[in-house]
Amino acid sequence: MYDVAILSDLRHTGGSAASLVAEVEAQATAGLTTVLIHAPEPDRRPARPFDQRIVACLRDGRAELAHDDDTDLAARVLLIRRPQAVAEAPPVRAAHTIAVLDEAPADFAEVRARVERHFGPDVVWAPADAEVRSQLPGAVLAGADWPDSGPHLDRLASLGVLPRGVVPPPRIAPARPTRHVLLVGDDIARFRAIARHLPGDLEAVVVAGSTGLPDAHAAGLLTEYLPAPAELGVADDRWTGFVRDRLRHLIQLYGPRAVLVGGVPHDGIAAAVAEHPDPRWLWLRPAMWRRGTGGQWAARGALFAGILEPGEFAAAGDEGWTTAARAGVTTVDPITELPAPRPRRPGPATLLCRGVEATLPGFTVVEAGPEQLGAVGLAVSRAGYTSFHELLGACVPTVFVPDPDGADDELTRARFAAAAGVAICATDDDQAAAALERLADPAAREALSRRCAEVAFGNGAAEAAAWLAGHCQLRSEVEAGSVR
Amino acid sequence: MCDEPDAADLAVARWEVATLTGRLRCVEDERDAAVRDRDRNREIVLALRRSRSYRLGRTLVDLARDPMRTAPAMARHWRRPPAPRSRIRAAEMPARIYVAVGLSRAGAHGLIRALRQRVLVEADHLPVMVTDQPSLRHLQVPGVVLEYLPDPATWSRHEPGSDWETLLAERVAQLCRDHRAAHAVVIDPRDPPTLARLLVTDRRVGSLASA
Repeated sequence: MYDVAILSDLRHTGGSAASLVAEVEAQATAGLTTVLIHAPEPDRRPARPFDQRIVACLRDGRAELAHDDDTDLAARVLLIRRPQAVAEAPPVRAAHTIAVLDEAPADFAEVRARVERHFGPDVVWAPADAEVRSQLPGAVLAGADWPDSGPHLDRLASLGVLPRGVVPPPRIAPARPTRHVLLVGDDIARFRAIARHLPGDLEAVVVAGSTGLPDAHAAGLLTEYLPAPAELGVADDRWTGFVRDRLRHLIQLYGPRAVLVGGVPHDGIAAAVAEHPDPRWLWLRPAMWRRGTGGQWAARGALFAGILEPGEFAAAGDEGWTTAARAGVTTVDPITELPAPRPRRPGPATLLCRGVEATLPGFTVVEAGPEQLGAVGLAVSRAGYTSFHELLGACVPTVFVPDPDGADDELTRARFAAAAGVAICATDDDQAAAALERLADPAAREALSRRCAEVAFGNGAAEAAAWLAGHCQLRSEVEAGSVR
Repeated sequence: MCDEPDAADLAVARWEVATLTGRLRCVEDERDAAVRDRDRNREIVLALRRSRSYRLGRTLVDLARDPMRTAPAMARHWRRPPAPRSRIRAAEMPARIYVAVGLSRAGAHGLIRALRQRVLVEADHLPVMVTDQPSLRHLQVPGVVLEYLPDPATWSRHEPGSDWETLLAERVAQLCRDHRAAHAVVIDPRDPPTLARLLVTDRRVGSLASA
């Protein structure tokens, strides 16, 4: 709906056109919207152009021009200039209609009837001056002549059309732009746990390989794909450039405050860091490397503004290279997706198998995620980071069967857990079967659960998210120039 | 008489425009890089021609080409055609981007199979299929490269202020650079092409959407 609609023959160049333009300019200055409706007089030459001052108003955007076939024009106030010339006009809905008589029509009654047929009986007739008024004796006119009724904006205000400069519109705070953080790698369980605790205005974008992408997507995270060299069919040296280019694209697309790299910072990551130092590059560095492996990555720590190490229950038994590379490292409790601690309510004899195939007479094999672990009666599992800490954190009686080819030192983890009395370590199938038979006894399971509760550890996910958000905030402050 | 385009037709049309936009951006980047390369080489050649050693060598060559003043044997030696280059760079298989968004998992699987068959029939390009299926492992086949793009609904949920078509255009441009692709086409999710249609339309630059 427009604030004001002005209907006239816009080709007319007389004093009424000058008044019309003055009103349009006053309305535009006050922030009011105006639509001009051209109602051509029948006896004028059709090809004659609009008054140039009116053209200027339209060109400068101070008013809009109604289309010939507009059928749904609405305005709060409709002003009709030179109503005697109005023969045909599009329908206009208006709360107030005022016909301004710049000159006295020869047959006022006929003009009045025609106009009121178009616009209803509530039209107010306002003479432009006293001379016009005097030429219309007996006619029902407005109490004051149009120019004498006050400045134009005051006239509109009296009709409820208030200048927008006088009454400022409610200030709507612009939506705070979402900040992004890229989580690069296939450490999806950690990424999910951290992302769940990020502040509302910080959105995680997971950049994963084909292994991790479905899990991240299923968790409701925005995901991007970083193909492995074998999936592209390229050699490692070309893949380095591919990773650099892909990360460049994603950094340009999302403008992240920070990039958290999970896993190892291979050459492609290093190339991307060198090319894009703007976001804060952070490393989610796993601990518990097998002795003698992974040392080549130690020097890459210097690429990062911060290193976050998820806590290890078996940290005291860690013999990997990260135990000696502590510069710039922040350690938090083990990062898991476990819910807040609550009492265990194990169901009827259930056996959870993770990475290991096993059966136990009288037990039903089940699958369970972090949320359901409290109902699991017994578990047999590899000793990878996620399973190890989830099962111990949920106090599930567990037989750990370490994978000798695992990415990290599963054997040390399992042995440490056994030494701490929170689980049983089995290094082959026979040992695992014997351990499961022992744990068929409810008392044995209860003892392990009780011991787990005694040495319980917290969940570092919230702390890790706060650490990440803090780095993003620091980046914002650097951008703002408040930190040097 | 033509039917009125429905929402799906318009969506595919928007994707085609975005894909062509992305391809165009890549071509523009390649053109700019080629111009920079040409200018750099021109400067090197000019610098070489201005150098003292070049002018001296040039004089010697001119002298050698004068039969009246140079020994015939030396002239024959210098006139020998240059030995062929020992390292000829193997021509890389050109890639082609297939934007296959909105397909069901079975539809994506069927398209992958058709693309695989297509390059078996004639290995004239490397298909790069852009899918919005997150379970990429289930789609992987030899000879077809997979790329992932968040689907329009996911994108609008996470990035409500940004058009998905803009993302598509930027991604296509990036993928054309990454995979050195010369073509990019859009697959109509309602009617993914079979091998027969891929063979009919494979030499066309444009969309398979309405093929």
